Amino acid sequence: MEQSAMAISSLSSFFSSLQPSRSSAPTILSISSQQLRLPRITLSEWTPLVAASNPAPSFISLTTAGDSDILSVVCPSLAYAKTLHFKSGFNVQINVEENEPEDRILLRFRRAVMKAGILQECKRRRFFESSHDKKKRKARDAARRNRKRHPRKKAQGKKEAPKKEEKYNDEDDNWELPEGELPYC
Amino acid sequence: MAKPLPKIGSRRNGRIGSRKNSRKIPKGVIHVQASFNNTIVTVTDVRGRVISWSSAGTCGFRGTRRGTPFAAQTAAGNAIRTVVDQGMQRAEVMIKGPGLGRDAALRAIRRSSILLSFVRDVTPMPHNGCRPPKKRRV
Repeated sequence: MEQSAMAISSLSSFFSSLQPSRSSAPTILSISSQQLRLPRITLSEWTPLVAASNPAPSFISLTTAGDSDILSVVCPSLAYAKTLHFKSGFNVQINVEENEPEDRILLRFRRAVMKAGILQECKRRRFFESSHDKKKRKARDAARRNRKRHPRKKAQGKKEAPKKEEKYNDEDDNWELPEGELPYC
Repeated sequence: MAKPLPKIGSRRNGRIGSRKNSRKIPKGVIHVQASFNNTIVTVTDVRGRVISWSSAGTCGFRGTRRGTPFAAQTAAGNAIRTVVDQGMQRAEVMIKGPGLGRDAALRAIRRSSILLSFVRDVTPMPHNGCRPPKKRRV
C-alpha cells in the first residue's frame, strides 16, 4: 500500500513539476525532496528528473502494486505480459505447489480452461461457420445468458394466470327499469 | 536454426538415434498434443530440444482407440519412463489442443515421480486467420 502511495506521489510530483506554473512546484519539491531529490531546474533541462535516486523502485513498485490501469498506459508490454513476454505465449497457466493432490490440480486446470473458453473456441473454429450460422450461435448464446440472468419469469406467469380468470357473477346485474317517465333521459 | 536436430536412424520411439545425447537434464518440459484422434507426448529440455517422445499410436493402439483417454495415459507413462531413468526431476507441462487426452495425460504425469512446476495450456488460437475447412454433412 505504501509502495503504491509512494509511486503515485512520485508520479504526481513528476507531472506537477512539468507544469509551467512555478508557484506550486517548489513546495511539492520540498515535500518530496527525500524521494526525488530534484535540483531546481527549468523546463528546458529534462535530464535530471529521471536520474533521481528512486525512479527504479517506483517503477518496480508500479508493477508489484498491480495498478493495471497505470501499467497499461505506462508500459503496455508489461500489462499484456502473459502473451508477449514469454517466447511461447500461453492461454492459461497454473502454478502447482508441492504435494498437491492430483484431482485438485486437474480441477483447477479444468476450471481455468473453462473460464478461458478454450475448448468452446476450438470446437467453433474446427469447421467454417457462415454468417448465418454465426448469427444463430450468437442468438443462442445471448438467450442462454439472459435466461441465466433473469430466471424469475417462470414463477410470475403461473400466479397471474388464475387471477385473470374470474368467474362472471350474475348477482350484480341490474334488471330494474330506470326512474322517471317515458323519455328516460 | 540454432538447435541441431539429431538424425533418427530407425523410427522406433526416437530413442536409438539420440544415444550420444545421454545428458543428465534435471528440468524439462513435457508437451502434450491432444487432438481428437490421437495424443502425442514429447519430452524436451527447457530450450525445446526433444529428448524423447511417445504417442498413442506407437503404444500399440490403432484407429479410434488412439483418441481415448486410456491411450493418452499409456503414452504419457511411456514417455516419462524413459526420461525418469535419465534423471529428470522437475517438469513443466504444456497442453495443446482439444481432445480427451488432456486430463488423462496430466493425471498420468502427476502419478509418475516427476515434480510439476507449471501446467500451461498453449492451444494455438488464430486471431481470425485462415479459413477452416467446410462443415461436414454427416
